[in-house]
Amino acid sequence: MIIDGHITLLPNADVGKIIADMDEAGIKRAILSPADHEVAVNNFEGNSRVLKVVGKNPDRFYAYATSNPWFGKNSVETLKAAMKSGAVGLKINSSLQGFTLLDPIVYPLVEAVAEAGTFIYAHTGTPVNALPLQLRVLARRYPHVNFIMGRSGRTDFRTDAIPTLQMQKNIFADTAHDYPQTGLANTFNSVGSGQMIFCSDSPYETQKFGVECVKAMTISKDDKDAILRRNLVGLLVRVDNYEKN
Amino acid sequence: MKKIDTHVHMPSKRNVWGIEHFEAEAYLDLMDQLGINQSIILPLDGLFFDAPMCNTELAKWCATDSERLTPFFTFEPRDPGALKEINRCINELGMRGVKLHPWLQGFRPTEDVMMPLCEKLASEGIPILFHDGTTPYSTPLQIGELARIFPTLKVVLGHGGLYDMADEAIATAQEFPNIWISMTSLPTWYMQKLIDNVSIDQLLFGSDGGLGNVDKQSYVGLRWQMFESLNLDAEIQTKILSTNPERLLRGVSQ
Repeated sequence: MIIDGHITLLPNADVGKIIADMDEAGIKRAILSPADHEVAVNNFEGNSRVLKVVGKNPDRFYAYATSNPWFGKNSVETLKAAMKSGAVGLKINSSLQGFTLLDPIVYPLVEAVAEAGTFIYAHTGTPVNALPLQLRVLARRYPHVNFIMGRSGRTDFRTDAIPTLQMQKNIFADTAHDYPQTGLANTFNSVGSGQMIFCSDSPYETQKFGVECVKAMTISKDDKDAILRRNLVGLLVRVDNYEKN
Repeated sequence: MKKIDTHVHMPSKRNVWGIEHFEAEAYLDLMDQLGINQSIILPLDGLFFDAPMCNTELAKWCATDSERLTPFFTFEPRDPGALKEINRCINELGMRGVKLHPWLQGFRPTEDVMMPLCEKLASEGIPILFHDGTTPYSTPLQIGELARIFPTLKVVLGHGGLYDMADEAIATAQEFPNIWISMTSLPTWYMQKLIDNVSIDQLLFGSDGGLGNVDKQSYVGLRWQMFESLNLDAEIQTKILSTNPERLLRGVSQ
């Protein structure tokens, strides 16, 4: 079984087509994220839209909630409401949302995630405020919270992804857009399969392509299973909503 | 249809990024396997080490099959000998274009020192392929400024803005007709976005081949698979893979 750790659900997305693409790629389930404008400002609307799709397809999807920390106390309430409705993790994009990953403004959201036992998908790779080493500092402050390093610093901060992973074991590499013999192999050789989670980043790349790249790695079947399924399940089992879904 | 890859690097001879050098024959074998007729070969070592020496090496590497391996050279813009090196590369080595990486080489595309060099390149019809998509010095609009100053200079955005600056690459190409975009290192979504928003006549395709040891070139084939998965009309494919790159290189003395 394969679980996709990150898909963006665009407003005009054809859910039937996403499911068909998942079937073609052999993906059983995927975690859906709100789209850019919803991550930036319309958090509640985005969360509701994604949760609605998940509610109609509970055997295929999980939901990320999003929340912009600039909304202060309301941002925590928005996140908690979404988690109560079934979201399994928090998606943040500090570039879109206008804060640096070092800014204490995000702490209340991380603490709410810690309290709920969920995890965070944090976009990285966009200077100046969404960088792998900044995520490392945040993850060091919250060692009991797990983070997926969205896009693993791609493109030009990809080189910072490895030291970030090596120094902070509660961060997982996002496999999206990496090739089997180069980026994926480099990550595997540096930190092993235990810190890698398959994410397709669909629709920006096809799910089939992402799965094929992991499958083409020259690693054991067990390592592939860790990347394609087991590591993410390890995060999800801590989430109350996981059992419900 | 002729297939031209507009973005391949000569594998490093100096272990840049851990790459072990391999001979041109090995890359030609890969091109044969993938049905690629021609590749534009860009410097890698020359961006870090003695550019003239590396340009000579690259020209020699491409001479293995000059019909299929098309050499581009680089220079250090602040070097007083840059203009002399341009003349040498064009006239003595028969090189066909320039690769510049302002972020790695540490200069701004519109610095004063670039002006006489670009004037020369424009007069010779020699294109410049820039790394783009990263700050500082390599944003599409910074490079677009150079295209504005030299409207007859062929300026290629070597990565179409990468991920975060794809929209900026589109805006740049829409404003300046002498901007070309090599769709290199871009996921399929962004390639399709460029195709939908930029004149097809300005688009090229590249694999970024050569960045890795000889046994790690499988990503080149994956890049071509990604392009093919766009299922473009034959006419559009022909323009991107054949007509446009031939036009980019046309009129250049060899």
